[in-house]
Amino acid sequence: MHQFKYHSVGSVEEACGLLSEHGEEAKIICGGQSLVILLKEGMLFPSYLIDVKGLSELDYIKYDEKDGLRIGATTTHRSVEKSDEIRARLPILAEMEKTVASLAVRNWGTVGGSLAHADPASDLATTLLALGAKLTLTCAEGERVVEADNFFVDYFETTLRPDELLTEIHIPHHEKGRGHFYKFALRSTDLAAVNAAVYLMASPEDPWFCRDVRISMGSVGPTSLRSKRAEEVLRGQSVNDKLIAEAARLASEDAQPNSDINGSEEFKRDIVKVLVSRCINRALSYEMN
Amino acid sequence: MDSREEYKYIGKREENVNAVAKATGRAQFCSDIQMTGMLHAKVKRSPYPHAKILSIDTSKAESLPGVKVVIVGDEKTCPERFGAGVADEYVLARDKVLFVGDPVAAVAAETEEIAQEAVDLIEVEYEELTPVFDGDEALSEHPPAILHEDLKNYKTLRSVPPRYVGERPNVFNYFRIRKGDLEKGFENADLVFENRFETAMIHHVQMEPHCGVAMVDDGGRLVVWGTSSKPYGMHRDIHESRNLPSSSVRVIIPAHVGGSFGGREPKAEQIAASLALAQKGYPKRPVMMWLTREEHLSTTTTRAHYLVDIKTGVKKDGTIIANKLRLVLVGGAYAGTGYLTARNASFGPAANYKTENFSLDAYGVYTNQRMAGAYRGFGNAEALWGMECQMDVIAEALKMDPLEFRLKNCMDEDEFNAFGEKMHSVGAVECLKAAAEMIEWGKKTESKEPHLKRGKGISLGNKYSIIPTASGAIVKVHPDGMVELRTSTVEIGQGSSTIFSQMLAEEFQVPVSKVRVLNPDTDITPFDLGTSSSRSTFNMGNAIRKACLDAKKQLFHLAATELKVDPDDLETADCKVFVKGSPERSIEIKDLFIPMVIGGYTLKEGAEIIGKATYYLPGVMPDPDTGHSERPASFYMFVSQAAEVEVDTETGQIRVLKIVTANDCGKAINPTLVEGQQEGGVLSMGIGSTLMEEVIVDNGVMLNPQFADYKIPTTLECPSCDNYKSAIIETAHREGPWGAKGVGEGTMVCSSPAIAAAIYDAIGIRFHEIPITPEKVLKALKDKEATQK
Amino acid sequence: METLRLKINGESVEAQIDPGMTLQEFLHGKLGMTGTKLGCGIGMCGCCTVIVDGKAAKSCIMLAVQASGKSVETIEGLADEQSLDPVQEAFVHNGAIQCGFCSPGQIMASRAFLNECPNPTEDEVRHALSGNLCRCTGYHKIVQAVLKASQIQEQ
Repeated sequence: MHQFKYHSVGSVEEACGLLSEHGEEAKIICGGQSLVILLKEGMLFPSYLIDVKGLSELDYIKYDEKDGLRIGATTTHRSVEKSDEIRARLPILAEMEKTVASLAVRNWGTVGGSLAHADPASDLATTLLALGAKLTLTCAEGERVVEADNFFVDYFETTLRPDELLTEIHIPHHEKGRGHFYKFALRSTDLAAVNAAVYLMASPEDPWFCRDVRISMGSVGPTSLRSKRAEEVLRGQSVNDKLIAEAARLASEDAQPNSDINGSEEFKRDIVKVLVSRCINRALSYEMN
Repeated sequence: MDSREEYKYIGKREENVNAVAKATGRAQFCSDIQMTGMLHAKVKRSPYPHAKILSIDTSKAESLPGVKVVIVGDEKTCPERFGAGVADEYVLARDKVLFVGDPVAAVAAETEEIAQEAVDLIEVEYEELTPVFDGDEALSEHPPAILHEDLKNYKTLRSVPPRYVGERPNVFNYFRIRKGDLEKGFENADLVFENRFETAMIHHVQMEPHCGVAMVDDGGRLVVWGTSSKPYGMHRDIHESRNLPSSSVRVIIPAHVGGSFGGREPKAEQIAASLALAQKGYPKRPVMMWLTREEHLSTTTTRAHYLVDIKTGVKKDGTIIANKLRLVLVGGAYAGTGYLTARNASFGPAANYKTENFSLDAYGVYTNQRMAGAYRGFGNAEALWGMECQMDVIAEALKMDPLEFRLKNCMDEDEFNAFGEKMHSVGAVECLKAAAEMIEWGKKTESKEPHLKRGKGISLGNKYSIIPTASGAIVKVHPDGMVELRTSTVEIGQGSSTIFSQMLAEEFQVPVSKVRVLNPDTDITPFDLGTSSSRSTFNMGNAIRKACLDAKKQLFHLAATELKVDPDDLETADCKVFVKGSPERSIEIKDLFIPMVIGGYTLKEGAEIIGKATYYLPGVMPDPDTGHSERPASFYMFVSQAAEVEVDTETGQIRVLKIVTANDCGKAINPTLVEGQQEGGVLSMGIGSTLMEEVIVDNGVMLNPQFADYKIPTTLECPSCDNYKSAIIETAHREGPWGAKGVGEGTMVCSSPAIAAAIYDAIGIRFHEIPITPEKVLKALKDKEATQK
Repeated sequence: METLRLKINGESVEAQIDPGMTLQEFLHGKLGMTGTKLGCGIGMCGCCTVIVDGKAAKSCIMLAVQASGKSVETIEGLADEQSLDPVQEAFVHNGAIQCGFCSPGQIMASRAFLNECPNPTEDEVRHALSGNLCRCTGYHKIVQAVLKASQIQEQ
């Protein structure tokens, strides 16, 4: 393994200070469930490793009726999976977390680490896109908020600057929102070959009327992506099977999958169609909250 | 031997004698060995599938601090080729590399990291040659590449030599069976079916990667620890490949090995040995070579990509009257165990069904990939994949129930198989009926959702056990009554140490806790052919019983003198020897030993109470032209499996809802251990090989050499406990110890066809290749829809 | 070099280590605690599972320094001189151990899970152990053993 100096920090300030000082030479480690593998395989060469796992100030799940859900970056996947608050308010998140890797990995892997790692197969990324999440990026000078839509740039690449630390996920409150996440993989513990998430906001009078919707998919491109064309089909409409099929078809077209050992491009597009269709149907079938 | 008789220890669910050690983490595996001054080895491997080695420069590696020794394949380190059946392999490649991963140099250093750094500093110049990967191409008379130009001059195994085919230069073994009149058979058939079936290359995925530790002791002897399942085979490989006298090598296999499943070729051990020997001066530090998971999955023996061509002729009433098979084991760069697998894959098809007219040609061919050969089932799972799928095709065409079709044709007691061997101990019918009952054959279940389709399938298989075979056993009776067994059977997790303990407990009528089983050590434990072919219960079991008789003979002779009776009037139990019928006339075993004035305890004669025996079965070698033999195998284990699947017709995903197995193992010495074999065979390897496992290769490079991408079932891919059922069918064998045969090898010989038949029942699509993945299912469904339109 | 201070099976341990050393390498290689096995090195097979601050962790993808100040339990610490842990007992009695290479990991993962969820359904057990691969057993007797252990503890 590449030789590095290890710092365990006690505050966000300390972390940001070190990032300012060392910039590209430094890497943040939190749960390490992805990072340690990259270090062992010689794919990363940081001179400084900054451990933020001890930042309990970033380990929180807060829900507010108006503001929505806020999750600190060092919150583990397992905490999200088991949170009563999330299961009640945004079950799509808890259900998605249940499918991520395996229990021990979820015990230590964090939502912040997962997003910063930006694996194109990330289930969390796809779900946050569907939820219209916003991410807080903090540095020594201050902080900025970025739409999840704009956070992911390319394979394993985000808009995080070398001196920035991802500190919070904010999911704004969506009136009458319901969603579902689906993952397709050969085995339950595998990275998604294809994943999809749909979050729609119905009308108070008619559960089948779609006021607004976000449709996203992952592992079918360099980052998770939304299909705005698919969303257009449903937005402002009374949803029926025909529209669902059309939305699914468009999402499938908008996907950018590669052919690899998990499947051919054609196969992955077929799966996108099925998953998006199922997500919409399942989302519609939930009780309105 | 009545297998229904009640015994005190035989047939009982005795606790595994190693379980506590393993449950507490105390059990030491080869890869746990830590010795003072131990060096760590890494290997330089060929990046090309076929190339000449032009030059190797190790100077930079040698001068790296922490590096102790660097070796390359040359006259000095690798003087002789070695191999299971044909000596075609050097420890390190000399002059040519024949697969991606072929080792060309090795380093031993203070740490693994330094060793790897040194390996990266070794510069090798290659001249690439055209490779051959395709089985049909490799088999042809003019293949794109010939791997062993000098094949006919290589040394071969005298007892079961390979057979080459003059015009086909890449064939490393050829075997044939000719029974009856095939042409006439097809003429008389009402229907003839011809199909090709294939299995993908897969890996055993033992949880402990191959490991070897080698040192030169103070007497100058080479001592090697390893994960090999054949200590004496490993022993021969090591001394023959170096022209060392056999007695100058000692092989030790630890008491715990992390799985085998047929795949443990001793390559890591060989490399460790070369590094130990190559050190200049003294001390020669011990060397550990432990494969990384990537090396394990990408360079060690696999189950071959198999080509099965089968032509079957049947009568309208469902009688099979002619069967013609061509089996091609698409092997690797070296024949390895593949030479025998290629030949013995023929047994499965030869013994499954009664067939008057039978012809089989089996080939093993070289290709520029790593070795392929021994895997659980030894080629029989692959061959029966083809045969059993064919049987389903036929049953459907005849509109016969696949179960009835099999019951009509299956092998039975006293029937003759394709070798002309009269079959004994055949549980085929019982197995089929048991599997059918457990899966509720004939009862359809429906899924709630319209896009989910369900179906059931059933299959029949069999697995022979190898001949010729020899097993040696030594039994020592200790003064405290403890009985010690010395054999070279390897405890690979199957529970051999436990059932042997039970056998000794039964023979001496002492609890299992009063028995000790030593681990293999060629200095102490006698010859055994190897822990494979499900041969240990039967062969070593018989050797153990004979050795016990021998030990008891000495024991009774000593006791008879003290008790003043005839030795024939004596029995032993609970560490005592007593007169039959008058148990009060007895002597404790410990009292046969006398404490001497200086030192310990001795016997008056014989020095020790040690029984020894060999159980040797030469069998009859099959005729080279017809394959005819009255005894080509020790015994056969029959098995029937059935599965129920649910197919998601929108995504192609397949869920195994229920899977069952009935295995004919003769007397089950320990039912819990038999169940363990059944479970692992079906749930891990049966499901895995059928639905998700594949060594994915591109130009000889494995693309998925890690657990993320080489997929074996997790807890979630296996059906729930209620939906897995097993039955133990005890069809006793007259020569088996207490009627026992074996079980492990047969546990997945027909899993794939059962699952594939269930898929066919669900969605009407017959797959000819495994694995059957969601993508293949979806594509087949789309194609079917298109043709129907 | 980093100074590592942590608790292992209740005992305080201090060592000077390279920060790049994983917890598994530290336990197995440096301390000779060979029960925690290396199976893949990428956190997929679970052979390296230990319990850190009460939670199952894959020690091959945790840097040893990340365990600083934490409490680590390994397979060696599960049983005491007199008796086995109920999970170990259940594995032994139920025939859930064959080659044994994955067993320490399976047992530690099961122990951690039952501490969190003392009365699980079979489905919950399977989900909890999905990150622990086994090639020998097909998981059948392992799952049964964990359910039995949970029932014994309930009593």
